Amino acid sequence: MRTTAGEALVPPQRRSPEGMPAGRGGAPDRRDAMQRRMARIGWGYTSPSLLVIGLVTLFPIVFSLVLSFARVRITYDGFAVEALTLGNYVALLGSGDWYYALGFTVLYTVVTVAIELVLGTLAALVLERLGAGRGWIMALLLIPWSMITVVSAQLWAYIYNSTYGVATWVFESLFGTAPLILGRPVSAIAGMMVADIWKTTPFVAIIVLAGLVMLPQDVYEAADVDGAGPWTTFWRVTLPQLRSTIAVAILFRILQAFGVFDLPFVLTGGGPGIATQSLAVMGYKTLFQDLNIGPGAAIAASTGLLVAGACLLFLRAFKAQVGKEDVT
Amino acid sequence: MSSMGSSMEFSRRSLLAGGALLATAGLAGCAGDTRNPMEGRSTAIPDHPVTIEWLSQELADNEGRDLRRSLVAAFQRRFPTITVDLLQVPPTTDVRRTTLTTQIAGGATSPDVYLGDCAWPPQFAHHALAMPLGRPEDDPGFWSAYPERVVATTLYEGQAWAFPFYLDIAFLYHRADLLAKHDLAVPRTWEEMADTALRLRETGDVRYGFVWQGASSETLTCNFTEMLADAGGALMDDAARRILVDSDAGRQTLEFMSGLIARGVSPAAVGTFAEEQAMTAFSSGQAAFLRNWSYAWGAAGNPEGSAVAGRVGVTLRPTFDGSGRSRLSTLGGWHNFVNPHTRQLGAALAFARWLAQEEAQTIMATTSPYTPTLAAVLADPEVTAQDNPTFRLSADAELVLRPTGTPYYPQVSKAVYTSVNPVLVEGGGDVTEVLAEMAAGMERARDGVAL
Repeated sequence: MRTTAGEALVPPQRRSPEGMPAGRGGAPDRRDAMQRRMARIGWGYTSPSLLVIGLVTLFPIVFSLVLSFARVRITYDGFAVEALTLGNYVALLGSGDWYYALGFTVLYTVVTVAIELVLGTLAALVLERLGAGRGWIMALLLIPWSMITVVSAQLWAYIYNSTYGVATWVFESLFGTAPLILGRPVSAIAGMMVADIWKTTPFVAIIVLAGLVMLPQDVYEAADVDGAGPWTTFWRVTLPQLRSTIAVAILFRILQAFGVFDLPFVLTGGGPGIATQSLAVMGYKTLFQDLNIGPGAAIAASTGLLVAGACLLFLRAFKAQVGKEDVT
Repeated sequence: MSSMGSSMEFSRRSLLAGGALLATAGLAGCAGDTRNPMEGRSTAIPDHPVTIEWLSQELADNEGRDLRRSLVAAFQRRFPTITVDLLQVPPTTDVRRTTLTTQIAGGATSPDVYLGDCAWPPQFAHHALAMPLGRPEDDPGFWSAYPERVVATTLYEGQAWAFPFYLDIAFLYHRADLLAKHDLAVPRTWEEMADTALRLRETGDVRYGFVWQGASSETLTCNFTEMLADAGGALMDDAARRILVDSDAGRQTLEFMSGLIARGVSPAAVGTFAEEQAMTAFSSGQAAFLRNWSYAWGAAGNPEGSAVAGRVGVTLRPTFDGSGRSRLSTLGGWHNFVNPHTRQLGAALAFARWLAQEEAQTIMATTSPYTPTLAAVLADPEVTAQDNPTFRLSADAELVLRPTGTPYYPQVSKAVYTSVNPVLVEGGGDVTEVLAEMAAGMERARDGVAL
């Protein structure tokens, strides 16, 4: 296999499709048939799990999509579709609450993901340089991440509690007065972001750390030889090579942050007013408190569509920037 | 039975849907509630052993034991063929509704009987989550034994959908020791209460004057509704059709509620308080006055969880100076619903109905802190003479209905609490504008077009 000098630097698993050995044109027919048979056997073995995935994932998604285009009523025989309609989406687009929830969710996603990314990368850089204690510290770091969000949200609710919360106490001892953290829109949103950042920064740190330790050392040696300082090395060598790792972390975080539910549900119930009502909380209330099935399904479906769109856009922008490098 | 069937077949919405309904009937298989789930089914009490399941929150009696078990045991003595199993429930009212609606809408046959909030019947009836239990006028012997307003909460389109079980009535709890210490009288009006609360704060004996529930949830709608009634107003008319909140009474109420916080009578934190947080502030000794439901008497008086046990007094809620209405409380409480998919209809009906009747209600009223719905039991001298003063006071309370008669009540309530809550936490603002916005939101909700 002939490679150019440039390609040799790219580890095999990251090689672009064009660089892969040609599997079709040159291979003998016998091997093709063999591959096809293997593929059939593969499909055969995976079909039970595919069936399960279809039942528990695809069916509900399709069903909820259908519901989102329907006027639905619960009857003694279960869900009844009274008519197919675009009305649910029209209702969303005419609802100030929905635009607010969308705005809140986007703001929450952008701010928390950005801060988590910076803090997580910094933590990973420190962790990489740590010697003996790294395992222990990583384990400690993972505690917030491994905690069930409902539980950690309840802990934050205690911290922010306006009569006996520790945050209230700290503010009162320092400034003589304490803000009503969960009672006012701006501080409630900020408090919620802090809780999210506390919980998910370790996740970003671990992913970035995994990328860091896999970086080839020779590039650093080359940079050193060329006289690059630590700052330049970080910006010119480390960060560019971490791009695909960071992209994965961002994608995971966008997906999660956009669906934020447990934090507002536990901390504020969406209040004050509707200040912390995310799309997921709004969908939940519409579906399960108001039993407003069609519009609830429309909120769920449009949220899914929006986050998928956001991720695709991000990936495209990312690919355009990094060139041919495979980001997944 | 046939009259029930036709009333459901031609429900208001179905009539409005008109031709569209006919056109889509084939597509849907079943559009709307076209049949009565009770039709063709036996409601007789089974003569062979059967088991039914009852979903209810834990109800502690005066000894700290489970009242549900005493009730079930008494029921089984009366109906030996029916065994009742208890099911555990999720912790909050809203999560409970979620669980029940998803299960029952999915056709689950369990629970056979479930305890639900008194604000639920129209919504649950509209969505086929409850069994219709007949028209009260067809069974006056049974239904006339309950306060009219309690019966009203069970109705939707003329039928009852639940049997009343226990009441929640709101009271004003106060620190009797502090009032005595400073030689202050128990307030009879809200204005007096505010002055007294401020005086007690100034003495340094308490951190907060008056705590109540202002969190952005149903509990705020309850607080707002009854104070609006104190001022002579209402959210909607009795039929839950006309919206009345945008009124002088509405302005007075909103201004008074936000003024409580602005003047320091109540902490700004009430804007985040539900029952539990307000209760904690009061039972930890931090507040002079508390608005809370009947259960708070027991909670404040229990030395294990309360720092103010034995130092608490209770009255019906005060009213505004010069108001024609007093002794008011939002009607809260819990009813027993029958699952329309139950396989043991006769047994389920017998149990849910028995819980609402004299034997069960007397057991509840004499061994537990729960307020009976049956008027005769509530007025029974043996019940009212108990140590717990909430029984005596409850018999005198004037119950205020939330506009729960519409199946869209959750949306109506949301329009109320999401409008009131920011006024509390942000302080003041233009209350006229807020009320107009609230009324517009309630109108959209009533018409079923709110999100």
